[in-house]
Amino acid sequence: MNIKESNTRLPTASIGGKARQYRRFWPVYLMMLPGLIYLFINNYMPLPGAIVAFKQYNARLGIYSSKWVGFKNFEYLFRTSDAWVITRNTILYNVAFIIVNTILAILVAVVLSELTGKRKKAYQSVILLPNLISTVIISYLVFAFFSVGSGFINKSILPLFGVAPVSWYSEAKHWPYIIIFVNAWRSVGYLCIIYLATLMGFDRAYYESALIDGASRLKQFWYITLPLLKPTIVMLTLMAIGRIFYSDFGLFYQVPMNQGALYATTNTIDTYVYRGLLQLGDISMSSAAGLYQSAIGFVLVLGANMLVRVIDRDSALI
Amino acid sequence: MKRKLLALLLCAALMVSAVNGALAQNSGEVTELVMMFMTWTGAPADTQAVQDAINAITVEKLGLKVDLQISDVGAYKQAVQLALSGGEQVDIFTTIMLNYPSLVAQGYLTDLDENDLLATYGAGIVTAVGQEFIDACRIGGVLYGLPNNRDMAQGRGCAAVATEYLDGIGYQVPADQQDSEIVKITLDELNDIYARLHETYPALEVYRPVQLSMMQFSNVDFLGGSSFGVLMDYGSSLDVVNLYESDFYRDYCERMYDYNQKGYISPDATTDTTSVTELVKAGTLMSYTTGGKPGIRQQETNMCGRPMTIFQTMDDYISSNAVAQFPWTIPINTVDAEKAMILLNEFYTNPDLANLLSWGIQGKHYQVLDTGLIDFADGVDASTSTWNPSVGWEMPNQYITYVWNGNAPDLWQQIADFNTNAKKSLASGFTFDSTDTATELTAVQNVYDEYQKSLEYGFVDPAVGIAEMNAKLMDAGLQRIIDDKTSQLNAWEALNK
Amino acid sequence: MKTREDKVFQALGHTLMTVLSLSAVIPVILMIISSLTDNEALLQNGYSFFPSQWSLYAYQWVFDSNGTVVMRAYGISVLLTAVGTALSLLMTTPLAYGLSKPKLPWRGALTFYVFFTMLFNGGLVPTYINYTSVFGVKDTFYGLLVPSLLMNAFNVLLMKSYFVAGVPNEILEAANIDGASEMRTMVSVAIPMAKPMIATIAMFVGIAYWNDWNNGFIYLLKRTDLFSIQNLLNRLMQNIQMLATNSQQVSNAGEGLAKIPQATVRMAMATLGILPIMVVYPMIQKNFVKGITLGGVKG
Repeated sequence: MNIKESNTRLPTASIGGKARQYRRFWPVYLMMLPGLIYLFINNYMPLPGAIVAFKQYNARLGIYSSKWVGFKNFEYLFRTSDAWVITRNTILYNVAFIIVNTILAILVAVVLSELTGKRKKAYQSVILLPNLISTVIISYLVFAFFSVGSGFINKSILPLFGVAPVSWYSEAKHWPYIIIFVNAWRSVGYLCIIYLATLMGFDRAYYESALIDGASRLKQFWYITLPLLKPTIVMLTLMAIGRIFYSDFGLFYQVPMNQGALYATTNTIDTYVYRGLLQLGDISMSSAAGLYQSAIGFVLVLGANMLVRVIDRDSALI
Repeated sequence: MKRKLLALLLCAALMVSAVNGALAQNSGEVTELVMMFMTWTGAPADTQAVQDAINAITVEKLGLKVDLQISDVGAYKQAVQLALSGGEQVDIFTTIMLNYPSLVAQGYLTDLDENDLLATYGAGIVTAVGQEFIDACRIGGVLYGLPNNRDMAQGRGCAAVATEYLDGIGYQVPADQQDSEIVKITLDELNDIYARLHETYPALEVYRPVQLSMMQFSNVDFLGGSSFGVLMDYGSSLDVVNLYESDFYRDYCERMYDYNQKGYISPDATTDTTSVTELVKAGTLMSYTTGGKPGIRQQETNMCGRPMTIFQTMDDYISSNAVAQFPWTIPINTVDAEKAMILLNEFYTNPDLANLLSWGIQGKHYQVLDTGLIDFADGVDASTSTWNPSVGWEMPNQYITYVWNGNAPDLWQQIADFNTNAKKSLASGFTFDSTDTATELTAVQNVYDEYQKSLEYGFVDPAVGIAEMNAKLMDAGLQRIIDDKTSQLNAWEALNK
Repeated sequence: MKTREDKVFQALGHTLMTVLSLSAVIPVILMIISSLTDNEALLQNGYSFFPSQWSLYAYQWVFDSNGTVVMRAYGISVLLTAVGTALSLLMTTPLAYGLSKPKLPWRGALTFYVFFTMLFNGGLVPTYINYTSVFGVKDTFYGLLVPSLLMNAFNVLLMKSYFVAGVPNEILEAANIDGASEMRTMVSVAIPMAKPMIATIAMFVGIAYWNDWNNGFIYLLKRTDLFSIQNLLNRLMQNIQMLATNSQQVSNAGEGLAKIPQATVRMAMATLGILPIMVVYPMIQKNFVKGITLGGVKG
């Protein structure tokens, strides 16, 4: 793989230069070693086990000696009339999450960084709260709002506008909004902290000279802040693209209360696999699903990264 | 500062490893066997004490020690699967929450007839549960698991109704059934009761369906444990059919739809996960479906905290997969299959061990009353008991244990008779190997999940919903599953006749 | 030098943040109120901000039946979060710093090595086998600490890109030419400049450890005394879900559900789970996140 290195490598680097570099950098390698070893243990050592996805697992034989079955374990992901729905849902939700969360997080981060006053700190802590609540509890809270018989929306809010109660848990069309909202509610605080930290690292000199030039806030945002944030935005988006075939199980299974009537808009690859394999308990098939999700994400992220490198070399992830 | 932090961390790490080291056990010549099962809420507080009491018996008598590894219901499946595929020592475990045929298909289990394992070391087990039930656990003629003694049969079509509401509508139990635990009535009579309950208590929820309700209220045999391809009419013929195209299913959904139209069922029924007994206890619900068996009235009354009346509209039935639903097994991970069988045999035949598993230590957890029944030991109740797992039905042999106070003294005999007298499926003992239809099964399961609640809880007009679901099920490959089940059933019949 | 534009911005900004803060906090308040509601009132009327009957029963239940367990679980959670966060930073920071050095030989390959782990792993069973049979973490504190949480590629890459953008290479080179070793350059030049991101990642890791239940679910079987507070909560949830979805297997599922504590108890457990963070967070913010705020904001 040709990695982003050429622009920084000294053009005259000789073999002697390389040796000098190793001599100079060995303490750096040493410092990096614990992290690299951990990743080796946590991710690379178990990796060969992933071939179970291509095998018919038999405990007697173990993972490596079980019978090869090619792509048979992957079939269930495609040979179903739902394949299109679950793939579409997974991708569309992820795209929506990327767009909505990024815009909101940047907005909040920029506003927060420019605000003055005592309450600023309170805002910062409070917007992180939702991230601390487990998804199952979130599903109860969502239920408290949307419950058909006793929810606030049906009982208190809709009557204000003279709207008839809605049976939220049996009408699939509302759920894209609810899920995107819940996800934003939960993740924006988190993402915003990353952008905030990035903003804090900026050299204030840029802004001061802009102020002297009399640039408006909007102009400052557009011509200074956004370009400075760009590498972070690109990086976070690329990472999100890598996981575009994954979906948060709790968000799509527990929050809609596993309601069949909502599958058209809530069934994703992860929930489909969970429901299908609950009875079968087949480790080959579940491992096939994970491999499929990772592989597609990998290809997509490499493609996107290539595109980024063409447009703006410095923002690329790798 | 940094160095201090590092030292602190190292210190913490050392402390942790010291604690772990101290707990590592060393075993002498006595073989230690690992036994896994589940309880509703995980290992009870006194697990170690009960384990020690068991070992006091087994070390002396058999030279064996047992290590109880107990998980809660939510973790058990994963714990067993990981332990088995991780090659850890597991010597005996119950296949509850797991799928017995699929464990067999994945090669996790030991053949119990190999080297005459069962015949040599487990003769007591055969006597305790009976050859017929043991043979029902064979898969492809090979025995991988041993059934336990429990209620195999189920009273189908049972409804529990809180007695006070029945009194409120002036309902009288038929004179000839005053003394029976379960009141036999017809479905029309039940519908009539519901109508009057609704009239008198319009603010209360009359009936709450749950996921199991349809099965409990049917005469359908869920062949191989799944509803895709079933036998109708208590398995009286070996014709595999599509349940969802049957008259029974249409009638059932129409009845629920009718209930829902009449306002018997809460609009939140599909989303609420509160247990029905808790709803009855809270006074918001009057009735729900249950599976009949001896002792059921006491059981439901205890759970609901108010007297319950049990009605039954159908027959007692042992479905084809009931016996082999969660047999005890010896996995290939065992350190010694013979010793595992010896230990299992002891649990099936030794009342002291069986009582320890089910009820704990006499004097500490329970006491024997003058009547011969048992109750909590002095100063202990349900909430403070340190060994009260309530999973006697999961244990190898509850017939040789004490009967809990409040039940009939001959409860175990009643259950044995209940099993004997129940209707039996012709396919009793058939298990379905799903290896070739795994793709279709995942697809139809998703389709069924999509429609199940709306149809079976009566939120969708069956005239529309059933046809729609069937079309999607067929698309998803239901016919292939039915065909595969048919051919496996035919092969099984040829082998067993 | 407040301009009109400034004032409008401040007003709008405060309004926006107030709305967002309220939407974040209202559901949490609902959760706390639910935990203080009488269980029967909850079943009869549903969740409500103004319960018809208040009750401390849920907390009483938790502390009567599980008091020592809950306190110990708190201890585990705190220890786990502290040790985990510290170790994680000690590993993440140098790795990210190294990857940010433009002249480091093999930098590209190493970045890819890290990035790859973000997408691929061996799956649950091989990972479990690796950790239990090679490293023996089952039923130990390490089972909570080490698997999957100790360091992740996302944080490494995040910090790496911060070093690249926020710590100009020229400064590091200058330090280097002045004779400072690589180690010294990192500790005394790069790390202070990267404080905002280090604080951020510390918080992410801390939250991840505090919220985690999966490791306990997988790696703790017998040693339930090592359960963290989230494990206690999650075990209830897992049991409910298993009984609700898999009940065809167990005709006694109703009995099981009846043994699981009631809705208000679950809310109480959830409240107990986030309470310490709500208490501690302002303190952390004051001392730690000061790094962020002081980093650059005009006075």
